[in-house]
Order: sequence, then C-alpha cells, then structure tokens
Amino acid sequence: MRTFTKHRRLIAAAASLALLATACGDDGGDDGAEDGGDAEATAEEGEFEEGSTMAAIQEADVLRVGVKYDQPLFGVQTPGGVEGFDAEIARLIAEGIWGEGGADNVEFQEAVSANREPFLQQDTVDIVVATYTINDERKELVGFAGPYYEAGQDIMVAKGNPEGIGGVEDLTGKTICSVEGSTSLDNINEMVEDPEEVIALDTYSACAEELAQGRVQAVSTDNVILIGLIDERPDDFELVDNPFTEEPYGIGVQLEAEDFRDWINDRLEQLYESGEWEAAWDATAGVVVPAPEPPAVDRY
Amino acid sequence: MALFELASDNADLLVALTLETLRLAVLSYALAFVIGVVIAGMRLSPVPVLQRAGSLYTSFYRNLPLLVLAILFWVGGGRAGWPFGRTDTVILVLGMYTGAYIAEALRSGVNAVPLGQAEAARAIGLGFTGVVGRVVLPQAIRTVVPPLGNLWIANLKNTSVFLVIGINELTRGARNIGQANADFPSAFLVIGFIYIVLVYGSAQLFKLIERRVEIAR
Repeated sequence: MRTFTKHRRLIAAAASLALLATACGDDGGDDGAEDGGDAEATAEEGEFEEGSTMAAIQEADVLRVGVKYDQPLFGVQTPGGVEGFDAEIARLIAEGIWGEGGADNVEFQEAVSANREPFLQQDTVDIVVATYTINDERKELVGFAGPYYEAGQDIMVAKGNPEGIGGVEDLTGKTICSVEGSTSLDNINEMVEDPEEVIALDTYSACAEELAQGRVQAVSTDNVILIGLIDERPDDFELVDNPFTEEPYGIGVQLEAEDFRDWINDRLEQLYESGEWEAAWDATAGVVVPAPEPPAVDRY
Repeated sequence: MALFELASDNADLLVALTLETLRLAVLSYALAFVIGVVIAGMRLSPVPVLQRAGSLYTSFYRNLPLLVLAILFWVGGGRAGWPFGRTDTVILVLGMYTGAYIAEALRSGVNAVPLGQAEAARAIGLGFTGVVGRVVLPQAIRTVVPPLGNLWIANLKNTSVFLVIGINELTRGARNIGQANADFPSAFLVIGFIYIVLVYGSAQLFKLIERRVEIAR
C-alpha cells in the first residue's frame, strides 16, 4: 500500500500539471476537490449532508464491501488482506469518505456471484465491487455506480489449444464451463450453437480445475477473470483472446441509496482525472494487462 | 401471481429437472440396495474377515459428509484418474453412501428376529436355506420396510448435493431459474413443492408395501 501511495502521488502530480491546475499537485492526498472545483463538490471528502447514505456510513466508521475472494488480480484473499483492482477501488471510495487513511475503514466480505443482490437487499454490505456486470434485470434490484471498467467475455482453453478454438463460434459441440448466476453463463447459453454440454459451477476456480482435468474443453467468462486464472497456472491454460461481449463492471449499491450512487459516480470521475484509477490498475491487474481507457460513468 | 407464472413459463424445464432428479435417485438407490445386501451379508456372515471389511465400509461412508464424498471422488479422484463421468459419479457415490445405511437397516432387521426363531426352525428339521428363507428373512423384511422407505426419501433429497459438481438437477435448476427471473424465493417455492410431491408420493408407495407385508404380526 505504501509504494502504491507513492505511485499515486506521482501520477496525481502529472495529472495536475497537464490540467494546469492551480492547486499544488505534489502534496498528493485527495486533490480532486481542489483541482476539480466545479461539479465535483459533492465528492469532497468529509462533508456530507445530514441524513445522506454517505453521512450514515461515515458515522458508522465502516464501509462494508462485498468482493470476490477467489478472483486473482481483482479480489483475492491473502494473509495481508484482500488484494486486487476491485479491492483498491473500494479503498479509494473509502478514502473519498474519510480522506487519507480511510481505506482502513473498509470491511470486506466474500460475495459469490449468486449472492450479490441479496447482500445489498438485506443490508449485509454497503457496496459490492465484485466484477459485477451492469444489466437491466439487476438494475431492478440494486443500484449501479460506474462502470469503472469495461471487461469482455473471452475463452480459456488448455495450454496449446488442443481443440483449436479461435472464438465463440468454435464452441459448438464442446463442453463449456462457467459460473452459475453469472452473465457469462447466460451469454454462453444464448450465443453458442449446440454445445455438447454447459456446466455451471459455483466458482471460477472450480471451472479451472475441470479444464485442468480435461473434463471441459473451454471455460468462458470475462477476460480479466480468465487472465487471473492463467496468471496462477500459466503452464496449464491459455487465453483465446478474442472477446465477444462488452461487460461494463459496476459498483453495486442498495437500490434506494441514489445519493450514494451519484456520489460514487462523482468520486470515480475524480479518480479517473487524478490518475488514481490508473495507478490502482497498474498495481493490480496491470501485471498482466496494460491499463485501458477508463469508461465513462453511466448516470442512468 | 409471480409464482404460477414462473412455474408455467418454465414448465418444460421443470419437468426435465424433476425427471433427472428422479432418475438419479432411482438408479443410485438401486445400486445402494445391492451394496446394502452385500455389506449386510458380510457383516452377518460368520467369517471374521468379511465382518471386518463390512464394518470398515459402513464406517467410511457413514462418517463422511456426502458433500465431502462428492468433491473427494469427483475433484480429488479426477486427479488420480477416476474414470467415471459426471452422472455416473453421482450414481456411484450416492449409491455407495446410501448403501452403507441400507446395510445397517438390513442388519438390524435380521438381528430383530429373536434367535429362538432360528433355533426352533432348526429343531423342526429345516436346513440353512429353510431357516433363512422361510423363517428369518420373511420376518426381517417386515421390520426393514419402514427404514428402507426413510432411506429412499433421504436418498432422493440427497441428489441435490451433487449440484456442486455441476449436475443439472432440481435444486441447481431452481438456482438457474431464480437467477434468470431475478426471483429466487418463487423458484425455490416451486421446486420445494415438487420435492414434497415426489417424497410424499413415494412415501405412500412404501406405506402400501408396508401394509402388504404386515400380515402376521
């Protein structure tokens, strides 16, 4: 975390220069309020309207976050805490609430794909940052800030690609594994003609094991997840690298917390501008994939 | 009402899932019965080695949670060259698991026949087959029907455990339907109802058998 902060400062400084900001950029911290100035006033740390969701969270001294625990580079539980891009985004949001050091107030809980909506609906967590694709059905149940990243569904095969799979159209007649309750599984069911079998399991790691044992010929989900799995077992798997969908990852909030949703959107824009978003990427998923352009937030 | 709509919209799928659950339950129970007879025979036999092997078998399968067995055989076994496919694994693992319980039910059924019955049968000049086939077993079967019915019910419900290895049966189906319609409570109410119908229906069948074999007691 320390090296990461240093890195962030550098980029923040560069960003301020480029913007010809009046503020003194190299003091790091949360400079958004200073060099943003205009509409970003709502994202200013520390001051929230009485009765707002942010004020309640600030008062409680804890931001409860649902993240994946088994997703390398995005959310993975380690002895030193939860690591990955999703976890960093959650910490940056917390810093927006409490300022420097706010990341310590984040309390992570494991959210598997199928329990993300219940977690928010039952007030088990305040936000879900768990490679959570924004879609219309889910918008009925929870609110989405972001997207903070545009992923795309891709295919992972055994090392050397013995089946010669070049894209989604080659999955006909193959056995494919994906995760229950995920958009990826729906896409496979819709887009693959006559697969031999579609296997739905609880976790991506379980799917990877199926592939390693030759029980399925392909594992399909968002590319970043696959890259994380390949990162762990580079001798067993490889990526087809021919994405066939666009998956906007959003930050799930409770449906009624519209003020919080707006505020997170402001905060995200602030993080894009300050370079903290990119620094978070470089420190995590950046090990495997270079940072893309941050996506425009969708204030639906 | 959302519940009926969800049930009728997914009627074909629900029928297919119900049949899959039933198929797994029937096949695994059939295997369990064969295993149960063999293991009970071993445990009741006068040969110490067989007795020992039989009790080892029952301890292994009764002392491990079914979920652990499922993952152990499918994932762990997979690395060690377990040759069976997904569905066969369910039938085998569930069959071996329930088989241990059936063996115990059969054994206690035989033990429930007073020793005096066998002695009396021998005293009137019956041979081994006569003693076992005409005196001991007919009485043992009567005491064993109710526990076998219970085990059938448990076995049927236990098929749901295998969703963890990717089997598409009723419980997994409910999770998929719940996901697709963003309505888990209705999906689970529907399959809950199906389970009740299956279990209640088959329990009636066992009651019928029970009444048939009741006679002399």
